[in-house]
Amino acid sequence: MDIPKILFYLFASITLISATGILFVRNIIHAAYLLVLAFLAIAGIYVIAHAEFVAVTQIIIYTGGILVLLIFGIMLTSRLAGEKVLTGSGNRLQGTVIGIIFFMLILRGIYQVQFPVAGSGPHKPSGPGFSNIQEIGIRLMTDYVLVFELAGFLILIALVGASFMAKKDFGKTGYDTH
Amino acid sequence: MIPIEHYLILSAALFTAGLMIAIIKKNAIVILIGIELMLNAANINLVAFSRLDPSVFTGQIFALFVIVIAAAEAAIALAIILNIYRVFGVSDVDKINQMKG
Repeated sequence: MDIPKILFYLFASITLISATGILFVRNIIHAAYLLVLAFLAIAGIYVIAHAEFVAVTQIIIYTGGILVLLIFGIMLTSRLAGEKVLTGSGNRLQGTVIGIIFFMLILRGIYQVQFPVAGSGPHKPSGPGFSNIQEIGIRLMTDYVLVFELAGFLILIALVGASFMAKKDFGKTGYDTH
Repeated sequence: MIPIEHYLILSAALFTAGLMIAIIKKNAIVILIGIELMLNAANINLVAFSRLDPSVFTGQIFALFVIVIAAAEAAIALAIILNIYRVFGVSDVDKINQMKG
């Protein structure tokens, strides 16, 4: 057992425990905190899979951005006058059955396919001298520059749209509701 | 080296957890949390397959764009949930039955 292996299984179990924890907690704030834990553990898994830049992006955008947004959403959509913010559960039986069947289906698919052994690809750039981030930056600005610009445009539209929809008199001035 | 099947099994379990959260929970924000977990499960798959790819970074760059679009999706979804809360006074999706759906 080398250290990356131990760390992988540690992070994997943290991820799965916190993800199933979200399924069982009733307090929404606790669910959001468990989501932080799951996202951080997933970032650790990215580091072990030699995707350092994706790991850093995961921490900055997910735990830094989306989680704050979610917690703001929780605060804005519930009356926090001393009471806990709870969520109900419905469709328990159907959800469990669909989940188990779905998991079995994917598991069957995974074991039917023969994957090549990891690291047997043409070149495996890793090691102390190799910079993952530099390579990704060059790729983003050359091969994938159109997608990059489109993603930036999408983010701009999403931000404008979200702030327009979230303003106070949305629906009163823009169009006739009656 | 960790075999790729273990990444895929982790991702499948995470996706199943997200799917079950999205089906079972009633609060709209918790459903959004489930959707974020499913997106992350897909991202783990992309990063894992990127190790087998001859041009190593395609999967990682795809994962980056998935993260970008997830951020846009979360912002829009929260704006919609906020509006639903203003109109109906609840963020419980089962109580929004004005159209008898």
